[in-house]
Amino acid sequence: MKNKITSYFYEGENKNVVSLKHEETASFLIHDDSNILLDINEFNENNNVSFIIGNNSKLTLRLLVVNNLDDLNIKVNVPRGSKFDMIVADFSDKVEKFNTLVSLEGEDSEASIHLATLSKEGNKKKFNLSFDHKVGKTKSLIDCYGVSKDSSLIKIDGISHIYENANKADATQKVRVILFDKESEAIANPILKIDCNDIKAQHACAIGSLREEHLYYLLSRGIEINEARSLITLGYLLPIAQYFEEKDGEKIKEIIGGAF
Amino acid sequence: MKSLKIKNLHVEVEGKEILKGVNLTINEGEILALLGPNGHGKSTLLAAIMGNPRYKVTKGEIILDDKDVLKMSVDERSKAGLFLAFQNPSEIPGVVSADFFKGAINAHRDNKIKLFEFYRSLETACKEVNLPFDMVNRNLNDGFSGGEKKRNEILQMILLNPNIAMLDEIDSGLDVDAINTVSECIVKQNREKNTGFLVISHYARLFDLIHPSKAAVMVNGRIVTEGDSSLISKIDKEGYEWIEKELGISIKKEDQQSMNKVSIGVCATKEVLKNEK
Repeated sequence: MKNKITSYFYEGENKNVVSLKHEETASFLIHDDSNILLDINEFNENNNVSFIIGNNSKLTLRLLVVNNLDDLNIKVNVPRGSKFDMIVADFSDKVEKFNTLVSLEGEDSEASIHLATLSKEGNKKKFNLSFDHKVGKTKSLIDCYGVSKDSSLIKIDGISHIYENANKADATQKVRVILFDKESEAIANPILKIDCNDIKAQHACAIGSLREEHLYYLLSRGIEINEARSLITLGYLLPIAQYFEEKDGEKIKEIIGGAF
Repeated sequence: MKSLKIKNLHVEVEGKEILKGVNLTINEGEILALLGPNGHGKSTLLAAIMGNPRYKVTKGEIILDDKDVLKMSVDERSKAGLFLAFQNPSEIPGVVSADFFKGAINAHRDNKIKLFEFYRSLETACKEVNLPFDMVNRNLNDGFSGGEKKRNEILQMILLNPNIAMLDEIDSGLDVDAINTVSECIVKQNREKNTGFLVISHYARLFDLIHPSKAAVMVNGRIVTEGDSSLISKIDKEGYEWIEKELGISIKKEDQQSMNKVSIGVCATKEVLKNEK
């Protein structure tokens, strides 16, 4: 089946609170008043996945991406009083399109996306992470760390749209990418589309090579340049491992360690 | 005896000459106090010795035990036995202190340190500088107080056991108890490991505790006078004005007009230009 999710695992207080329908889009339905932790580690190359979250529920979605993705489209609806957190650790060779649209549809709903991505050996990774604040008192966070090396590319578009009358909405976007060599590239577009006055919004973006004073500090303690670069870069990507179970966390550390 | 010899050293930063012919020798086992007014080149000297890439040596020599330090990379200088305790140590998010310490120790050894030996050394050093042991699991200097950062520098000195340690205002930001702790560590390292010290400080209190054997005064990018510890007492009592009278040297005032270009934020970017009011 085209959109089949080949492997997923969830933890929750009641096994009947998640159901999966395989149609044109693979849809996960999260019942009201649920607290679900969902891991998806394997995708087909093309996937459309949607998450429909019930009222006053919490969904934490963890994606450890190691196989190539041509096209992954994730849609999430977050209703009143609900929370959605997505953690993406991307160590695949290719992410042609990774699109996420999170729609905050009820007051007091919250959502976050934490992304760590490593682009190496000429990889090209393209992410589009969007939030729609359709009503007021909604909160979103995009927090991305990337490392681009070996003539690779990372492109991150973060679009937070705050609709008219979405008073007291709060949107934050943070993107930081380290370029490991002169041939590598990163493009970050943290975009805020604001149609309401009474809101809070901030975006920050930092793309650059390793900070010279950090390297100098490590070198001054006898650490060689390549090891110093690796230490700093590991520090950029490794924190994502804390969101995963120990086994996947170790796998992430192994993959990152092997890349430097 | 191991020694660090600086001969006729000229150093410039961004095209401006800061050091204008420095001559100085520090021997293993000595503690040399380096004094001088602000902005006259003391920190520049230490940075140039350690190989900070911002500082360009245009003339002169730095010799450590007959080896040309200027031909060494920064990490090679550390492995050769030089250590610099920074005035403002870098905060490096994501780099776990314990990983960094282990990497630094291993860089100074032929065989990697065994885990048990590493943690034992670390525990002992933490106790000596009075830092909690769980600090080693925190990111390097990230969120540390000023005093914690300075004690962390001394902790690294203990772990790396250098031949010559350079301390750049190690006492700034330390409370009375912390100054006593750091001083005890310096004295112990000097007496038990015979490490030579080049110490910059503006306060006699630190020097009273570590008892320098020599003192030198840097003015206008040069060492203008050297002597024993009585020189420290004289400067503590009289300041630097006597240098102008006795040595006939006009002390240049600290350059206050240069301001770095800065940029703030992503949306609101402002460049502060020189001379802009």
